[in-house]
Amino acid sequence: MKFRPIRENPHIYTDGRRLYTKNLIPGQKVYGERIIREKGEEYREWIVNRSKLAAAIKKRIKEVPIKPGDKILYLGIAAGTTASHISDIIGWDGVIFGIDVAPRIMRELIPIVKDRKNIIPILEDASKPDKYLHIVSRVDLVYEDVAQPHQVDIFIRNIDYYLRGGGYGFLAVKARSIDVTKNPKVIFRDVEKQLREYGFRIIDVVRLDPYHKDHAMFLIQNK
Amino acid sequence: MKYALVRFSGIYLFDENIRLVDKKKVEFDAEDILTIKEGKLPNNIKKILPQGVLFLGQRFEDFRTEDNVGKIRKALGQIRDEDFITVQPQFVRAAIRDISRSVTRDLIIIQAISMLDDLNKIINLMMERFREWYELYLPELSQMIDDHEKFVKTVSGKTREELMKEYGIEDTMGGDLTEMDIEMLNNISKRILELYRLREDLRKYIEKLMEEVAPNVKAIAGPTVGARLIALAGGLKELAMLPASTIQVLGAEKALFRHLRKGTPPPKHGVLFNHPMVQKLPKKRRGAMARTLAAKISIAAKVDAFTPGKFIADRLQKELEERFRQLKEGIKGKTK
Repeated sequence: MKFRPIRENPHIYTDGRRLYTKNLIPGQKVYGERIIREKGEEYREWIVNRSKLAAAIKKRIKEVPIKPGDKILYLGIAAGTTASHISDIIGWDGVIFGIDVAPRIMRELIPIVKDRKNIIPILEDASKPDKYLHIVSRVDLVYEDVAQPHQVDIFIRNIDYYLRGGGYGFLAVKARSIDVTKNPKVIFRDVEKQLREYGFRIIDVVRLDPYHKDHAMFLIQNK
Repeated sequence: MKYALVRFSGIYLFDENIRLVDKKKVEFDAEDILTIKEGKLPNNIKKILPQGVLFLGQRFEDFRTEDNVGKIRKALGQIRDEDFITVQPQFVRAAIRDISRSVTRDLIIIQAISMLDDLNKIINLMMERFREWYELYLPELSQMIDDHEKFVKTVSGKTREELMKEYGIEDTMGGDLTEMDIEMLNNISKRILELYRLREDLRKYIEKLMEEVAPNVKAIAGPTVGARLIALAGGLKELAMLPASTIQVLGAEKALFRHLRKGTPPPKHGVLFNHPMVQKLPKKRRGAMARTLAAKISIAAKVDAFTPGKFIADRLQKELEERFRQLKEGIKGKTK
């Protein structure tokens, strides 16, 4: 058997080197990734250089708490590269609320979500979570990748509104968008402190180098 | 019933302890989603809404809002059994409409000015090659005419003999090219001239667009520099939201970040370097001019973005000229 599930999540596969998810929409490529068919299943390569979550998995983040049927609030969904793999995992019983403020990038998301109906595109500003109270429900996971100076506040605010008790949060931090003058290490330490002081349990923090320079992925659990 | 929450699946009503007491089903379409985005209640919801309710977190014209996050959270926790997959296409449609109406005139300026900059690079690249090539044929002429456009205009369609006579070149180091070679050179020169004409068209087009979209910025910064600032900011509103100190160094990001990281001297100007008032001053005073200029552009952009139709550039221009005169004459201090 060429593909086997990784230890951290039974719905993410590896061939020993690369990561894959089972394609929810057979035949659909989202960002030029490779598709491999085996025993009637279609595996879609999850490219670590393109997706911070894939990089975090590659860097052995302790847990990947995403499962079929999960509801997910995705802040900064952009062109849907990472979201498409999460969409593969959660399947037709789950849903991703994909928030992005930039029309330019959402133009690239639209053709993908026309088939991938478990992703709901929402053109709004993630720093105003009350703007999507009519659609986003209580969720199992908040994923944020927004590259904004106030990204930690945005993360916390959205969790306050939407994340269930005991739910999880992934926060991709780009040190340079918080403060270009500071050493990334210092920034990551400050972020960790801020998250801990808010009362989250910090499950793991991994640096995403060399796949994404000066980035780190934080995994937290809600009270 | 005290609180209400509008969802795509209907309207949910809660008592004062945020216990769900009633749900009224409502069919939603893309139009309703956009209405909600604009902060208005769709009519089909207005019709069935009990009087005097407070909306949880949601802001609607003529209605009150409860902002307590704990209450909002509690309300969301009681909403179940919603069919997201069925309603998804409505949200896709709403997003498409939303993206479509986000296309404003300033986005066209950004594309046009970027095309102009690209075109300049392309023309330069082609001209360098064209000269090299032409110098195999008549190197003396290329040395006599430095200006690219003038050079290509001069040689286009003319024979070597005509040009030698016209420019008094008695003997040439150029080789004898065949009919076929010369035809190709002529062909290229004609295309390059077309590119020069395209560049001129683009310039005029940008000037018209700027007059339409940002007349105050155009008057103060000039059409090209103004358009570049809009492009660097990402739009007219975005430019209007920037502090003058940022406008001053737009286009000098490399130097600015080097300054922030390594403490090198900060840049005095970005694309404002290309403004005639900055250009005409000695190096030491350009920083001061750029600073004032940025301040006036910042005001101009705010007017263009938020009070379209108002023209204050004449007054700003006067103040700028006063500052320019002071700097030119070497008087320190500020304009009033």
